[in-house]
Amino acid sequence: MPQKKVILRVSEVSKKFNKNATLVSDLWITSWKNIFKKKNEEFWALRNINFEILQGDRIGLVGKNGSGKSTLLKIISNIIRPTTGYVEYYGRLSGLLEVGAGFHGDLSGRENIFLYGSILGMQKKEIKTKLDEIIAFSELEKFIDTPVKHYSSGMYVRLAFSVAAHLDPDILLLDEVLAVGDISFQKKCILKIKDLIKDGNKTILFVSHNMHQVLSLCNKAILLHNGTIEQYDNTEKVVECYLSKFRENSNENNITRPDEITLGYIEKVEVKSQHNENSSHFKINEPFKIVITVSIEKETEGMVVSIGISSETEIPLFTSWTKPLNLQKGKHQVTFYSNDLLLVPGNYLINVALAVGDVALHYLPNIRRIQIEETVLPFQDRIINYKSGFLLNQMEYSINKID
Amino acid sequence: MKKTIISSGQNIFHSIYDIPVFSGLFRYLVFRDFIIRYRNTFLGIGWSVFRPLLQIILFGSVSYLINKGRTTHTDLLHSFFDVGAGIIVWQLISSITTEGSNALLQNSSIISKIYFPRIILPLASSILPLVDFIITFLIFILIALFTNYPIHFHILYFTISILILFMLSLSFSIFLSVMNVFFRDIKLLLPYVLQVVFFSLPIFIDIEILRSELFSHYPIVEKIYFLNPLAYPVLLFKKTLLSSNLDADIFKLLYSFIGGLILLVFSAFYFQKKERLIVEYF
Repeated sequence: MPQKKVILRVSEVSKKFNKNATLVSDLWITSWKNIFKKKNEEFWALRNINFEILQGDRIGLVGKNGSGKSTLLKIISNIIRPTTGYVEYYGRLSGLLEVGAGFHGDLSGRENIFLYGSILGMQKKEIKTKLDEIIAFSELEKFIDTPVKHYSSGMYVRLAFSVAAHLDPDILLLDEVLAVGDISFQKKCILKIKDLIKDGNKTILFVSHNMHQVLSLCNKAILLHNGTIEQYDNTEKVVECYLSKFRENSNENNITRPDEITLGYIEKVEVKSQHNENSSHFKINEPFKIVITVSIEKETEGMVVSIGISSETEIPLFTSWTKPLNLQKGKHQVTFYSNDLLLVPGNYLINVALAVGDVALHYLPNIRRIQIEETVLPFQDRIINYKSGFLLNQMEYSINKID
Repeated sequence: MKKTIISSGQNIFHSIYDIPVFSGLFRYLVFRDFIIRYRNTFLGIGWSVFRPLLQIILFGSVSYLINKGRTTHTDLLHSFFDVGAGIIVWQLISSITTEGSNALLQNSSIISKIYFPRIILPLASSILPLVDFIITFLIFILIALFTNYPIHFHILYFTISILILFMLSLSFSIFLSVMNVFFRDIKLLLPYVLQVVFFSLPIFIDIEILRSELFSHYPIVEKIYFLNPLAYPVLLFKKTLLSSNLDADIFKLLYSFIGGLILLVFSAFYFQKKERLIVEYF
């Protein structure tokens, strides 16, 4: 097998931002402030980033919000200039940092294909030859001459992705673009990307918070943390490292107290394993519990603590309530047990609320995130499809021969 | 495969070389502006004609009332054509400047997500005003033929004065587009500045009156008046249409031409220097 060549090199790239960056404030406020004290408003979004990508690699770029992923993509795609260092690459590079940036509502779908294609650097001839393919992929044949302002957001995204998918670059940058659209279209996009990378010439740099997509698409991954590269290795190792970091911090989320504390508030929400260890990372059939500490200021009748679990896309799956409780002043711990709940592998969000009757005292949406890992399934004798639905719980069934 | 380097200390004219790749984008930006301007309007492209026509009638009538008895030309039709010739060229200058000054801010969503040479935006925004100018100019000529008003046409000076004015407007547009990102005051200030410039140019104010009542007494004022590089080309443009005796002042024309060239180079230089900063200031 021939030695693969380096197609993209990022060398000693750092990026400094000025907080409150406006020239106006430079002129007025800071110059006046500087007379009295030198205030350091600098912020390093990236520090000394070095890596090389070989042709045909699919690199996942993971990291928490604010870790510098988007800044790095913007530097590579030549939108912002690095403060130090350089980026070099070979061939045509296309960045899909936002699906449909540049669409204009008053233009029809067809006109927007040309506009968006040319923004992405395609020539008119190139767009023309691919036009039918693009329209067919978007499944919008019926609406292609309607102004896109009448489109639903899903249709909008479908059209934009269809154009981008037909770009044919050597290096493709994707920034969470697959987190949009309905499930079936997301699948279609993943398939399209897999199709694009089949011949091994295309290089992809892919930013996502969805570890499943990263695992299924990428062969390597980079973990960014506070603007530096923490790890650059095989996808499995990096994802493992990222998730373990996530697990450590997951229970430290600050809970904002309600502005006005009347009867009580939620002080702490913890997700624990069956061994009472804080965790956010569970196997499919591993029981977990959600421990909620509520602080009651005044003895009240009819207090209700509830939790809700929703999908990562914030589709509510179910809610669970306590009976109306009569709680005395002080702190109480309410524990919910997952028991025989079988969630499909993926990320889930937990919402917690404290209420009296119909009145919510303290509501914490998406306060914790848990991840269900793929493992050997508890029931080997049935066909299980991960992709259809969120729950794996199986129904009892009976079969009677009637004829 | 083509090698690309992005570095901190890159040549500021680097993105200029990418313009040919994005010529399609240039065309579609113009097309988009054109479609959007006239979609859902009753008059459609008629507005290109209707707007300047209204202004010509307004300013022509006022000019007639003011100048009655002060110059040799006293009929209303002359006032219409005299002011009109100035207004159609003023439309070109002011709309290129105004459209251009908003070009970057209006497209901030694409600028912050996709790379392309940013200078394409103010350049593309100048095309529609140019098309408007051609349309109104043709209508102007048609009306002159229809009313039997004597129109002269000196193709050489006509072209030169339009070229200089286009160059100057383009330099304002490029410079203001990037300034507008850093200082949003520009957007608020520009209409008033344009108004002042409009009245300072020989469009509404008859240059003959200025000559006889001001320049003849204070020659220095004439020098100052023509320091504005727009002043002479505008005057010459009017003359090429309306006056049989052209008597072009080559020195003043050369001054405006060189001034326009310097401003254009300066504004392009400034634009390219600030290009990468734009996205950080949105």
